[in-house]
Amino acid sequence: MKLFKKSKEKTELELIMEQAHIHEISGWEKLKHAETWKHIFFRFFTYLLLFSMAFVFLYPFLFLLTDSVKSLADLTDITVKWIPTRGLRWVNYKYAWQELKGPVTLPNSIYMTGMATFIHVISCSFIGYGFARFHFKGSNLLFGILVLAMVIPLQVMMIPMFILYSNVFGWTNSMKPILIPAIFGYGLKGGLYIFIFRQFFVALPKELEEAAYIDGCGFIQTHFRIILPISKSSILVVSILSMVFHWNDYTEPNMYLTNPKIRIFPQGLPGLYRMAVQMVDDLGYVIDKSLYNQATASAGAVLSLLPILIVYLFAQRSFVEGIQHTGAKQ
Amino acid sequence: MKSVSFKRRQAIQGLILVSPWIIGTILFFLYPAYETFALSVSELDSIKGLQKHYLGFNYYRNILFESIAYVPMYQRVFKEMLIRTPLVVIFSLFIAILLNLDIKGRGVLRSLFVLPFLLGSGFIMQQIMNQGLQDEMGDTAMGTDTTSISRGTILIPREVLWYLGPKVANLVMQFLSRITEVLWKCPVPIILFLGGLQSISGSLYESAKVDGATQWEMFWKITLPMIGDIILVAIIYTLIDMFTESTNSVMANIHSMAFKSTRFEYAAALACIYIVIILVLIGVIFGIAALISKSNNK
Repeated sequence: MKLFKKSKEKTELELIMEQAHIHEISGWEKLKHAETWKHIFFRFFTYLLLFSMAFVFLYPFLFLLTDSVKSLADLTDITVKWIPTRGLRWVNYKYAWQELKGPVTLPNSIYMTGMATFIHVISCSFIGYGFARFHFKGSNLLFGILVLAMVIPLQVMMIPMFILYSNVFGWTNSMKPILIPAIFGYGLKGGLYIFIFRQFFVALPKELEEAAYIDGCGFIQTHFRIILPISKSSILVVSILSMVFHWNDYTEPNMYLTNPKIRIFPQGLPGLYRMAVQMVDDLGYVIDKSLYNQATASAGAVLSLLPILIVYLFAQRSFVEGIQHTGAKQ
Repeated sequence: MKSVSFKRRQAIQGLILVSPWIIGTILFFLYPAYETFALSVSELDSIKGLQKHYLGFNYYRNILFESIAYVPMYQRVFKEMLIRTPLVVIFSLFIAILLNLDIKGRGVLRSLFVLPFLLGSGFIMQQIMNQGLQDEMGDTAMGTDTTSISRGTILIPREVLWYLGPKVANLVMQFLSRITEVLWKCPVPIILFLGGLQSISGSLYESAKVDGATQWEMFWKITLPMIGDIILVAIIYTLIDMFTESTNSVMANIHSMAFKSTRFEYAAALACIYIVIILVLIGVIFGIAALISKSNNK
């Protein structure tokens, strides 16, 4: 991708050299110039800053990881911070998996996230294409409403929503309240995805579609056959955003997915953490030596992060490129 | 069909493409928005089918003028927003500029800085924050009010702070306690800024260098004006992100008011006030942005 091409920024020394018409200079010669030292000093500081900030970013992750394999004795011992001294307790993961009811909830979670993401990509690209290419009376007004719907947190209107879904539509105990609004470009942050697709489509050259129209391709067909195949980067961005948001969401699943059969994986986490709190009394003494503690809660958190982490690792590079691509066109 | 003009046909096609969203807007946006407002000015008779009768602005009066809990709550959320948003935007611009430098290993660093995004604003993040707090509390020996100052102790050795006295220490800690949360809000703005920085052509900087501009001048005269739009987008994104996160105390209050104490009307009134605040704030930001771009064009 062009975006990742290294910017050919010349150092000050190089510029001075150019002005003085010096083209060849050996490495040892360079060290005599103050500019080179300034350059090295600057680099050193940049790395120092970046790595220290990266540590702040990563610190909680690392902490979660070490916590998840600690034994009870290590957890309550304040001298143990990073490295568990009493062996790694992998069995925490087993208990967390059991408590989160992994065999039932993980497939549910994958199904919900996958379906919602798929629906969002199809519907939002479709609607975004309409906003990007076709101008009609009131299309600007509609776009204004889209931005408004994006800005207002829809969660604050959850009371009428809840009653609408459960009493009017009768969608109790199913994933419909999460999946069906996605078909209409709503659902979790639907407006954002329409917006992203629109920004991407506006920047596409029109010639392709014109050629398709001349060959007798209808406009819906053009969208699915011509436009979608060339907008892989924005599809990837929307998929990852939608996936991460759906996977991490608690508000809506907690309202609608109350039946144990359709509960999703991370929904059990608050329960795990609550058990962990009960373990210690007000003075910090361990009162309950049950299987569940801070370590199992951390193990549960790691387990629930693992799937998106794996997907993200595969898609990471193109995701960052893609979001830059859509971001640059604002 | 042939007699239909191009413009007309385009309009119809556009409407067909957008029509699912229009249906969605009516069902999932306008209707709930209307119902929320209607609920906030009436009393619920039965929850089934939302039967209610008109009551007037009692709940609003109660929230704004009678209750002592809610105005400070809005103020707190609003204040936190005003402190954090500039911090997030400045930090992410700073990190983006560093990541945009021509250094080795920036690919790895870039993906590291995006990582917290995967946690979203979810429950786990909140837990990690609390957990870190508890852990630090175990060995903090500073003052009595350990809860508010112990969060960011990973950055400055505690011993240094002892010598500075409680006031300075508290100030530093207030800042540091925000820093982790602020940094964790940065990934998406960082990515946006990176895209913006890369779209600035290098020849601008080169010609400025030849004319003898310093790095500092180049930042103010070239970089900032070129990414002005993206700064606006980043500000709006950050604001929305903070307004909508479920850990935000207004959101938490609305949720518990509705589903724990089942006072739906009161929760609806709280939500309406919240929406108005958000709209006003975003309107003000757009207004300021328009003013700035106007004065730049002059």
